[in-house]
Amino acid sequence: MSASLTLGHAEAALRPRARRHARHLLPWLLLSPLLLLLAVFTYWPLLHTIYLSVVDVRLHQPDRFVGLANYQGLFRSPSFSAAAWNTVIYIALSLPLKVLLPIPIAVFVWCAGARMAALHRSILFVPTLLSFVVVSILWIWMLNPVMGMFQSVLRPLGLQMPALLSDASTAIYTIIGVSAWKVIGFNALLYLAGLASIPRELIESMRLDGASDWRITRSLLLPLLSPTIYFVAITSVLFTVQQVFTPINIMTGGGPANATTNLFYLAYEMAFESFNIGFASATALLLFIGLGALAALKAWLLGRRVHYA
Amino acid sequence: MAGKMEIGAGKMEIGRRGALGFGLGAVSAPALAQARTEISFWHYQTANIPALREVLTAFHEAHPEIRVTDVPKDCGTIATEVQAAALARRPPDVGQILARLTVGLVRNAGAVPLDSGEDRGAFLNNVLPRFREVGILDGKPYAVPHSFGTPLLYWNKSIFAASGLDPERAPADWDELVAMGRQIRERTGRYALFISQGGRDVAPQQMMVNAGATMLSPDLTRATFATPGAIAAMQLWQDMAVTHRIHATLSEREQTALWLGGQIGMFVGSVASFQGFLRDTAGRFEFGVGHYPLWKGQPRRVPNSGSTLMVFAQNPQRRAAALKLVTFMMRPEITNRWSWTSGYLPVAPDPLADAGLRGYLEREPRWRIPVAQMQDTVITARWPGNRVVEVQIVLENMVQALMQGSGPAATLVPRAEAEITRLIAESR
Repeated sequence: MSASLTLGHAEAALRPRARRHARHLLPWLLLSPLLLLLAVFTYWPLLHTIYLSVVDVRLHQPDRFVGLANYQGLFRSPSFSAAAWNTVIYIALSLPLKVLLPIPIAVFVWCAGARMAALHRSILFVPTLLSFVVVSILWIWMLNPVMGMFQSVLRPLGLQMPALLSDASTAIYTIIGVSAWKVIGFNALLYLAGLASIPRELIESMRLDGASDWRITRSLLLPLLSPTIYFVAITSVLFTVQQVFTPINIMTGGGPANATTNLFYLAYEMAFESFNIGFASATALLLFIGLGALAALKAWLLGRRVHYA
Repeated sequence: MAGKMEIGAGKMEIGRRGALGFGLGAVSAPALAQARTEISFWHYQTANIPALREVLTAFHEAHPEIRVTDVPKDCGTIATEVQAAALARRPPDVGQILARLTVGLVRNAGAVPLDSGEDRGAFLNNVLPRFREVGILDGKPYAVPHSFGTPLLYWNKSIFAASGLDPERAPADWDELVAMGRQIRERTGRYALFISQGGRDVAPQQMMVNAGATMLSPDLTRATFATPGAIAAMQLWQDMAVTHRIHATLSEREQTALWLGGQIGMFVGSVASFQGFLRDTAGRFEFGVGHYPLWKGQPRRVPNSGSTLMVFAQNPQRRAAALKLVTFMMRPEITNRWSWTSGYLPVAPDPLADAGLRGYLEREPRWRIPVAQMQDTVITARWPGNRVVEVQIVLENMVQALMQGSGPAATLVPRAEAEITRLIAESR
């Protein structure tokens, strides 16, 4: 009898603990499918890339640890230095084109009447809908200096279309331009969504107080748009590096003379054309670290200026 | 004759299986299918797939005990895919590999010697001995030429006529080509020439080797192409683009489009383009076909482009079947027919002995030029190590830097040679 009582007490004491455990386990259980996917498709590839960057993968033999030899070889390669520098140019020039230029476009569309705004939105969105492969091929044809569309416009004026894609001094800027053309409309739509949340009454009241257009933009629109600007800036940096892969691959193949290659394209060439897995992994990791650092820097710089309404 | 014997042997084998099946009272198609050896063949043919499948159909008729699954791949990445598949222990049984990548594939994908089959590699005698060398490493045959190319000079007869040039005559050497090119430029305002890079390192190799250079040392440890002749040839290439402005300095894609659009006078590119040009220029302009131009009176000597067949099968049964496929594909009647249907160079020692090829030459006399140029075609440099693509990029960049006028050939060619030697030394 006393034994059964003791057991009963123990069971009673255990029940709340078990419930607490169950309560703690439940979120993990619910998160487990996502965590499993992340582990398999994100964390494991990342860890494996780190491993591959410090070994020499050989057929029918165990992998050989080579330390930082792959990184050293990479730093000695002229292709790497060209790709690293070009990556900086792509990011630096894409930011004003992809982050700042869409703002006035969005403000213009926002200020246009409702009917015109719908038309403008549709026109702006068309490049976004097109495949980047199609866009690249279209631009190759349009830029052709002998029989391209621009040449047919310039010829009657006695002008010659320059060979933008095969000139090392202009090719990278051409690709940046094409890449920006593709996403400006989409980013403008993001800003339009941000502008839609700003009450027009605020603008009217500022006007009544005698504020100029510039003052309204600087003191009202930009601060209230800052969360969107922050989002567009971060995604533009991250996407620029990978999005330009397609125009590089289709329009120039990284040339002429490495003038348009970038780290993303170099990693692809190393991995899928050269099968140099060690170098490709090292390139990918350096790119990962660089972009991570850049994203952190931007978060620190811009995050402090973001105003959430 | 050998072919008939093999076909007969195949029937006998089926006959034995059939008798066994009859004895067991169950002759069934699934049983026969089970007895078949299935092998995979990775290739990068696109427009030529119907012609390739004709060959495979003939092989299936000759060898019903083997079933080949052909898998089209991208030309630029097939070698990488083979290496990745080999690493995963699932290589294709037979692969079409660019000739200049064969050494790397022997070392990194476990290629099988081609003399390990039933006939001990006797089928290799069906290939011109000079071409055969492309597949030999350390004295063993690992690859056999297939879909081989040689560079030709194509010219637009309409532009030649409009420039006051004889539309039936190609320039014999580079000096004459430059003179004709300048005439085209002056009279029509069009670009006179486009030299196709054809896979990054092919065109510079051809230009420099034709001028007397050798790309690699015999032991494959260093680049050796920066000879005075090669530097002069590359300087001429730069002069044609920068000084004379007869060579278009556009991207490969743009220039090919211009050539096909009838906007460029001459095109130096692979014989492999011939069939495509026939299709794509039909009704637009007529083109002539000439030999690759000579360099300063020296004998013509041009490295091949194109590919080889290699066997990667590790399983003995599949390896035997794969070797049978390669043996079949290298029969002279097959390679000669493949040559004119696909547009690649014949590889048999005496292609003119083949009645089918002779008939094609009567219908298409321009095809005599590549057949004659077989004698002038030498094997391409086979880059060693695992940094082959970087080596190719160095040569591609060297040409592009020349086209940009970034420096004289006397600076850029030795720099590229030193860079390639460094890459070879650092690779494994």
